[in-house]
Amino acid sequence: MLKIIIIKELQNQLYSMRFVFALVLTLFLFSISSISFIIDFREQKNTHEAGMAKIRENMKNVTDNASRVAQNMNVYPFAPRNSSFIASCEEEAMPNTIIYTAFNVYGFDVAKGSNNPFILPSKSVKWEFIMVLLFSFLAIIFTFDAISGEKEMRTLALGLSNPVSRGVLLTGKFLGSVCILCLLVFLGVILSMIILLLSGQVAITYLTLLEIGGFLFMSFLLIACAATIGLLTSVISFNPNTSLFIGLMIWLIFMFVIPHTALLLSNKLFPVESSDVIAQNSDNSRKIIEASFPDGKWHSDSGNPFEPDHKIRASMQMDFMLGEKKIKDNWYNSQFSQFRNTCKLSLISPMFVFQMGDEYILNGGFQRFRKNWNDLHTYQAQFLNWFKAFDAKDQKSPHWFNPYEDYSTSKLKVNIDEVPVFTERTISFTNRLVNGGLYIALLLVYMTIMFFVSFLLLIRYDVR
Amino acid sequence: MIWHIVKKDFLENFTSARFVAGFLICMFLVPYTVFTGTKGYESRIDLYQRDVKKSEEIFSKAQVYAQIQPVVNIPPSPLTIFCKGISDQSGSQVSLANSEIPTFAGGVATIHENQFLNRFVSLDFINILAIVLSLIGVFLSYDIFSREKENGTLKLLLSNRVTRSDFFLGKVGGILMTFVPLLLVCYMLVFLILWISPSVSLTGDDYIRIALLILFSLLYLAFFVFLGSYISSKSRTSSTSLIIGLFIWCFLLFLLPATMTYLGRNLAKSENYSMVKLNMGDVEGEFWKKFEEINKQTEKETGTVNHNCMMCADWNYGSVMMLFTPLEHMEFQRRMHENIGPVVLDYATKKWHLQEAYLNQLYHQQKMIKYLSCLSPSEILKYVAASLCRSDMENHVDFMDQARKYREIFFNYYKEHKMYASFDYFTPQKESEIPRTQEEAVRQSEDWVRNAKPESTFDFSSIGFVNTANLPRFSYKEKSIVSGLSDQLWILTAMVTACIFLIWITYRSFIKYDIR
Repeated sequence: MLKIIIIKELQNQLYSMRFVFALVLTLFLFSISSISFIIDFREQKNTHEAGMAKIRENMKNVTDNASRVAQNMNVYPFAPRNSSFIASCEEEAMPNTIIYTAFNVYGFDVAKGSNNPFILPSKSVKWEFIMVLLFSFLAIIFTFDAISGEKEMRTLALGLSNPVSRGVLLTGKFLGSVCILCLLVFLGVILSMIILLLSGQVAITYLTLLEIGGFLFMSFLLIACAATIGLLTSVISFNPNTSLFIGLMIWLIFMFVIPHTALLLSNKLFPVESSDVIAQNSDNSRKIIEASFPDGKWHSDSGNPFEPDHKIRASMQMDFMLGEKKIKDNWYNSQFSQFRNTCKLSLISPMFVFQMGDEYILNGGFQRFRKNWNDLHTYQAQFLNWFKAFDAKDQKSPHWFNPYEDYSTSKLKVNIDEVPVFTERTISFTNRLVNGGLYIALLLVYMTIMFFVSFLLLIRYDVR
Repeated sequence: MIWHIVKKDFLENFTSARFVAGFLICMFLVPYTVFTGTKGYESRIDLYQRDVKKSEEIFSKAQVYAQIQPVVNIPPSPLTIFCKGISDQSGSQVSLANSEIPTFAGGVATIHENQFLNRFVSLDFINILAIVLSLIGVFLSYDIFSREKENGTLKLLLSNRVTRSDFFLGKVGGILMTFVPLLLVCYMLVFLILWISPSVSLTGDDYIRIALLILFSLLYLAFFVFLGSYISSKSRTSSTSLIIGLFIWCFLLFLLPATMTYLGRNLAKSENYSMVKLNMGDVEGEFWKKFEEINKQTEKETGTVNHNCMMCADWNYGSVMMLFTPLEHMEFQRRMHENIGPVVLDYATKKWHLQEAYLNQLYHQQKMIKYLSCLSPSEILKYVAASLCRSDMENHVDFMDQARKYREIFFNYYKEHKMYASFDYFTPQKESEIPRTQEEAVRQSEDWVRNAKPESTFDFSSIGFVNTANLPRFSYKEKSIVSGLSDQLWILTAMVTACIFLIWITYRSFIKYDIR
């Protein structure tokens, strides 16, 4: 019987006007998304390569002096992600560059010009955007009248007078709608893939296929979750239009109100010190350190590396850096934790859970940033070890390491190819799945709860 | 007769469940967004006041003229509570250094400093109004004709002496009338919240802007009412009409703006700013060569090769603060500042050509996106509201232009008054107080340490301040309402035209409507 209901539901939806509208919108958005991505990605890749070449060239300019190579403020810009056609993970709005030297990883920033600051805030139209906005909306549109619509047409009582249990009816309606929506997603994805493959811009590797598979699985869960919202509104009311209105209100709350509220609460619930306070603390720490050093701390003689005051100066500068690093690192950690807690608050919304799950599966957004941030710390230690080893070979260097000045470390010429280079690490898909498992489970829980509540309400539903 | 229909429809809509539900949602969402907007504005005002104080201290606590690199602050408008526009992302203060003409405003622009939180959606009153009012508009108008037809009352009505035109105008008028109290209550609620929050004070100009915003909100609403009516006049059943209406609503409000912005960003490409910075680095490279030349030339002119100082702090193409240093070295420094000061300004102008070209690309991109996304009425509402609330690009660009102009006036003042050539520029010591010999310099330094007891090597707090009363100061002249709206003239006209067109085709369609 379940099979018959599903087939009937599929037929009803396939011949409905909403299916035609949904199909047109899906194909339109997926094609626009792919075409825009091709132009954007090509440009991003070229710019990134040119930028990296220029950075390397700038580094070459200081290779005459090994100390300058170690002290040079390097900026590591994140490369455009191959899987960014699936989801941007808001990487262009979040910190996407890390600043480091051989002595320290200083901080991070949103690269100026990553976004045009004169444009009103808007999301990039990627597959994820289409799922979150269009398909969650469509899922409600396809299910809001599953029960109340049948009641209005007086076919519900008729249907239930057959040997069909209410549970089977609800399951059939649910599966039918989810199937039709999944069909739309597959059509859109296939169209998008054809465009992307024809362009030759995206290298489809085994990992990319796994990422697409993971995304489609998450999308299926999101659609199922949103469909249960539609079913729930359908059994709440006897009038389909009221169901639709309630469904849309719930959709708006999940889409906009919850993330916005979480953002507002974050500053109250998980406060983070302002940059002014941090600057003040750094300044105070500097003053205390400076006071603890004897006279001669600011004395320098560029002609004599072994000038004894250079040792004091180097030691003080090193303490300045370490003092500031301690303050800044604590501040950064509190920012990370504020962000994570805000995300946790937003997990009330299934749409947000989906986005977080995607972030893990695609290894983008904050997950990618944290991975690069941690890896750059490891790399920085290697870079410093390399410099120390280089410096140790220089007889003319007193080996008094100063993170900002070159008075008392090696000034020998460096072969740029010997300088360690940071490269981004790839995380295996299994690890991503394990890390993102929580979000998959959460979507399943949401879906089960809402479906169960819908079932309970349907049991008591007056079908007359 | 029209009035009777308007009254009947008004009462019917006013007491309908969908209007009550919509009304209740507005009563929840409007105070919510205004309250949060007010909190955001209060944070911005706090930040602004702190920044203004710091900027003022640049002048009031300057000990030498070289220390003065003005910083001007963008005053937050209380109207950003209604519409934030680009104010959260465009920066809050502009540093006017001698070495660089500012491309962007800097400072902390948003209510939160944690850049990771940029990931989250931030809504304002206009966003909520655009979503909720349009949704209610669609929900109230989708069955404007089809409901009467389904109930069988349409035939009955038109069999009387009511013309189709009267009926049409009455029905549309009835719905629009229903929205007037809803909009007024929304805005009254906003005023109530603003009235009880002590940090917000509105001027007469602000009230005019809000009144215009109310009018424009009504026009926006009318668009969706006309759209719903048109769909209703073309649909056989109410449910069909509702589904079509909602698809169009979702498309116009969410999908079209995002798609057009994404497309526009890629059609009108702008260079990456990091590349612009790297190219500016090349100009700086040229500058440093010039600097070396001037340095050598000055060494030759003054006959000073070793230009160490007894005490100097900070550096801006020469020591900014120099004390207890023999006259010979002070003279070298003075000549160096005199020669390099104007060159720094010239190279800033050279870099500006690159920055200007980049900014023009950004403006062009914004215009492209604006006109593409204005196919959606909600975007038109946002752009017009941002203009009225002084949070759009044009207002920001106007501020930046005034700030750049001020920078030019400020540093020209330095050039014209030969300040680069004076000792006051980099040392608080009068020419007569400058030590003539190294021994005298050491003695002065020791005396100063003994008398002033500085807390650290660079604690100059015991030194007095320079007179900055005659230096040019920045004053910002805001754009007028007319000038602001003239920037939005095209999209305003498009909105009005779209409304007229929609009502016209709806009327034409209703005239031919099959009432059976």
